[in-house]
Amino acid sequence: MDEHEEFERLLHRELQAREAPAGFSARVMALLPQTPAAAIPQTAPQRFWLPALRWTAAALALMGIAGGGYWEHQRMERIAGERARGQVILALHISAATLHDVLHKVVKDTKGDTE
Amino acid sequence: MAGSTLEFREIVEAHQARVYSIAYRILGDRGTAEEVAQDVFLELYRAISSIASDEHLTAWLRRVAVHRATDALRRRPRALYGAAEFADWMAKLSHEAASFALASEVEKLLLTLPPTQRAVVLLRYQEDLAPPEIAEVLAMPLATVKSHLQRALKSLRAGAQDRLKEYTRRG
Repeated sequence: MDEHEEFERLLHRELQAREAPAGFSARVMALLPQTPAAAIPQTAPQRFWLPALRWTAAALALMGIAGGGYWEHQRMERIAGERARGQVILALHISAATLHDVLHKVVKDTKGDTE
Repeated sequence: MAGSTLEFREIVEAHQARVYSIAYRILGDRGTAEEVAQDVFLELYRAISSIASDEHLTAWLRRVAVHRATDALRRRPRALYGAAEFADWMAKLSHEAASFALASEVEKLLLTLPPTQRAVVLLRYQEDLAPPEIAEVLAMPLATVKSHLQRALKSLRAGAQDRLKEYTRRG
């Protein structure tokens, strides 16, 4: 073994990891944020999609409300349209009847004059 | 990984020696090394859901420990050993005080190296990583890692020979 290899072996041997100071892990644990244990790492991936789910649900609810409102608005307009159409038809009927009466009177009067 | 605080404690206990040693040997200061090591584990706690495997965990800890220790070294240069401080310290040592454990001697020689060379030597000899793996951890080209390693070994050997001569001279 040459001198260089021997020196490298010495470094490997002498640079083994040192023990951390006594109580190190307890001090680290005391510094952790006071989060419930169950809420940390493993639940993190679940929490990742929860906000997305909430937003999706909210968006769907809004779309439902907007869609319902639009449908109701359309229904009311249709009813109003039908009612207006009925009124126009009624008005036309009345006009036609009135016109018929007038014509009938005119014809009758004309006949009376000629006789 | 680590579904509970209890499991996180097990992770800390399994890796604390590695993280603390990297920090201590880059910084040369026990107090700062412990602060840095604690910060590394707090950062791990926040990032734990992104850790996919044990190998990923070890690689993550090595990388973050090296970077945080190097950052701390840049922030607090006066509190730490540099080459000049090391020379002063050597000059003041009594013969008895100089007969400390060899591990400590090697660690002090390590502190005479520039920070990047320290990190490369630690990853090579403490963590037993091959140069391509060191290049990945430190995000630097392989040729740069090899160059740092070569220079670091040259300096360490020269330092060790000086120390040996000093011992011999003192008798």
